[in-house]
Amino acid sequence: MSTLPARKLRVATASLAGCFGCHMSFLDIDEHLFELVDIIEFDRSPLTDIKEVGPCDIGIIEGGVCNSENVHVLREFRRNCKTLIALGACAVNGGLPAQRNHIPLAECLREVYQFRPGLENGQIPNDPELPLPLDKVRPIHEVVRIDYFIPGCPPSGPAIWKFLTDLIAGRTPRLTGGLLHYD
Amino acid sequence: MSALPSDEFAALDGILQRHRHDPTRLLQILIDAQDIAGWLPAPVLTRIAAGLDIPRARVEGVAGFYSFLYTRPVGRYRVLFSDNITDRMLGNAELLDALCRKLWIEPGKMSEDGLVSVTTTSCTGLCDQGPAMLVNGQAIGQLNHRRINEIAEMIRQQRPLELWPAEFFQVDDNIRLKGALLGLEMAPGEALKAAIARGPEGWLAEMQASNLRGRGGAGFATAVKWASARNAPGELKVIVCNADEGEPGTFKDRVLLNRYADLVFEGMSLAAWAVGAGEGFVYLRGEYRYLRPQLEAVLARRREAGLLGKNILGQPGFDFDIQIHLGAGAYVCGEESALIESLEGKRGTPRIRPPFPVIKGYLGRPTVVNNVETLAKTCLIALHGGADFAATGTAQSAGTKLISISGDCALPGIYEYPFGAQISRILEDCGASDTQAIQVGGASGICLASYEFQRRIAYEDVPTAGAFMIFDGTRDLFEVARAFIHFFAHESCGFCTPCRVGTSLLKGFMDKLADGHGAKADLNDIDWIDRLLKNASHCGLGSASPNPVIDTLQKFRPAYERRLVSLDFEPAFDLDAALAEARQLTARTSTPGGTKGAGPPRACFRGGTACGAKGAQMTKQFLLDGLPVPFEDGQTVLEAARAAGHYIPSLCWHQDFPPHGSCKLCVVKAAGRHVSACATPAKEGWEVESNTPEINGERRGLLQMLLVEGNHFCPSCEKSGDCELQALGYEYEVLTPRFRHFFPERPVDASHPDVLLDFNRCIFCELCVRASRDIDGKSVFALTGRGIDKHLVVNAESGRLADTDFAKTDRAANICPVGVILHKRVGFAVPIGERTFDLATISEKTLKEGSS
Repeated sequence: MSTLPARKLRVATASLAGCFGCHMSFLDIDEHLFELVDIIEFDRSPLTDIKEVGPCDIGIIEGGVCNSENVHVLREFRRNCKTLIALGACAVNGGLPAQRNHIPLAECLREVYQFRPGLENGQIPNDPELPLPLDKVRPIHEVVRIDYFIPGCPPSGPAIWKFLTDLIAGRTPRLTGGLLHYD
Repeated sequence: MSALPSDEFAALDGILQRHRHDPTRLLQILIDAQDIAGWLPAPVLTRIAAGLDIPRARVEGVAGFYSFLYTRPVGRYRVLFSDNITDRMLGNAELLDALCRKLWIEPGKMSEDGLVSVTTTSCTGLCDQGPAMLVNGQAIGQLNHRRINEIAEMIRQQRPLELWPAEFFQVDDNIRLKGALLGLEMAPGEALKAAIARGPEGWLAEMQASNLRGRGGAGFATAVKWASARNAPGELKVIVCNADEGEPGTFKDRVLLNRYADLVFEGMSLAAWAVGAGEGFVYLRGEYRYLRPQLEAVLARRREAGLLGKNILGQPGFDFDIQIHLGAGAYVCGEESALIESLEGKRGTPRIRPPFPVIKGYLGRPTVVNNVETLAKTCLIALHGGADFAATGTAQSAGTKLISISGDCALPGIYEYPFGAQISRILEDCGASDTQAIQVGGASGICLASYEFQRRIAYEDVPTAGAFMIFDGTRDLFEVARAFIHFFAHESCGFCTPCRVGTSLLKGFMDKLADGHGAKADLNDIDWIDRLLKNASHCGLGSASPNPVIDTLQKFRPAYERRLVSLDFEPAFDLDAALAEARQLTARTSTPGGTKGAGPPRACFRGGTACGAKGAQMTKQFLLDGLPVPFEDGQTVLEAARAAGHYIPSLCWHQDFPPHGSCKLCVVKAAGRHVSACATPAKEGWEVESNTPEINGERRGLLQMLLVEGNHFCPSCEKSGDCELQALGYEYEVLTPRFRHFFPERPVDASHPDVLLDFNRCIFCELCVRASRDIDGKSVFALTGRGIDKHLVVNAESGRLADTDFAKTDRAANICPVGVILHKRVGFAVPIGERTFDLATISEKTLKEGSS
């Protein structure tokens, strides 16, 4: 890395309506992880198990927004992170979860919890602990301002590494030479 | 779908017979057929298709294009409230609500007994006597609560329209100031006699001397148009009177047709005399259908007087007659090439120009399309000479102009001024006070603030087709612009990407601000969409559509800014509302883990050119991004560039078909103007910009529009890796769709044994439509609807692909650039890494194929 920042950058990550595949792909940067931890430290992330996000330089969000808790986490990230990145297809355009968008929510939930073959006395879960689902799954840029986008399902380890190193070095990140994929 | 009663079919067959089973009369047939049942049931479309021997899908495509044609049931009383901004200012929304309440119905929905439906429509041209409505095509103005009460009562009693009080249907001319034209008293035939006495050349010379320019807004020299058509090859020539007066706020043509129809028809005959035309059409907008009977009467009188028909006024060989062709609610048909398409019985989609209509217009014949007022004015020139006409007005704008004044003034109506009249004087004459702004030229025109009122009506200063809407200090110019954007989104024909998606995106942003979700970031996005619309649209509708926003953002910016609730970002939707359904389903009220601390929850067409002949004889060249590109005559910029090894992107262009020009990704800047490279013939010495940050940025914007318009989820798409839209996303480094997703509902059709249709991914390139029609000879596909609601339909009454003669070996089954038409049981067979665009980028692949 050409220009190293003066202090370690604080980075938070979270998965909203995603499958954690993007986080797995993040781990696919393999030995670059050692380089990375020389220049960053993790705040809230599945890697640290820190539950609340604090002030950070970079926030990375996997997954779209499908429920009220997603909205809350996303807003907390936006409030705390100077730079917020959408990581992966679901964060970028809603991805697979958004394919429920043309089905009314009631139909969707009833189909799963009430009318599925083999269910007896099924009912739509209403435990207060459960976040309420939104009528539609939204890409995260429709809920808060997003600074950068890394498409892909998932984005490859090299794509994530290229993007982050560009960003940390102060170059406008670009994904070229086959690193850009929507699938 | 059950068959219709046989007497209805008999009536339909009578209509088909009356129109000689002529497919070019399709729109007229649909309009007449709709009178049978009030709407167009599916079996009717099927029978019309059979009667005309054309594909059913084409009939459905046309029926779905025009607002006044209904392919779903509507009430026996169809009430359409005019929704121009002037109607809104006069309280049309409240009256609409009142009527719906009295009739116990919801706006836009038919009453359960099928009696009545009430909704809005674009400006009906009664702005001087609004609020206005159309009831089954009959215009009623000066609506107020008293009238609404009576109307509700008469509808409930099912009183036939003929028995409604006559004064309801009285449309006033409101002529306030007469000039040369409105003051003219002329016996029918007088102008024609004078022109005949001069001979066609002599008459054309007078026209040239008059400097008359088109009154429809564009201001093209009328004599030049006539002379071009006269000199164009082809025996049969056509004169069209453009009475599709759809520009909101314009109603001068209504008055001319109502009171001065003889002048208009005489003008058409004068044009026919100059051009040598034998056939004339009046394209009368559907909103003015009530004028038709009296116009037919005038035509009949003129035929009797020898002013139409054979050997007019005893002049041997001067044969000319006029027929009236009705529109059916489509503003875009005011554009002359869209109007001609509509005359030919098609969807009103503007054509690629050139060729211009004066060379190849109606049915390929040289066609002059003139505005109503332009034609009427030619009578003055025939009577008094060109020099006399040119003596009035300004240097570049000869004669007078009819102005349709509406909005905040004491005396709305028609005013005739010599060109050069100052805005401030016009305001004084019509009794306007405390004027904050005026919109001149309608929605697509210009918004003038009070500091500009010294300007003048003239082509060289403030050009106008005649609309002049006045807004006083109490009006909110943001709401004015929003009304116009709603208008454009509704009227977009949906042909090209920027207009189809851009007008709807813009509407979304304006509504977001109006709903109290606005943020500073939205103003940047609005600017960006404005630019894409201006630069990349196929026709004037799209490129003019952002004008109201551009003008008001510049001159009335605080009207926007005071609506912003954040300097940063706000979502467009209300989180609370988005949770409402889940709350109801779970009987919960709280939002645990929800929004705590988050503040209040708010949530090479090869037929055209000899492509083989490259090299030595190609002596002409243009510069593409500074590099010389040789070309032959007839080659387009895109063809020549690709042949020379320079990539220009496109989704709708295909070497086996004529240029389409709808995706607009091939946009380039040629000689400083944005044009479609696929449809623009190369010109010697041109400097063309293509691979520049500006143009590539616009291409990225267009790709983003396509990505939010449909449901494009690459990870689950069989076409991923082979999809041209995706490949172009990679080529232009599109990392984000940027805009709000429409998430449209588009069910898939899996009925066919071999092929699946996933409409979610359609980008409207029409390659399947064209391939099925022109190569397979089947016409399995057509487009219907318009604007953002445009969609693909198949050639079957059931709407199912299985009920067509489609086969997987059809060319149309193998041409979709995206993932709409998919062969079953072969999806995902090719592993990632070996798919088309895993192996080469789209530019590499295209150039390689082009050179092989």
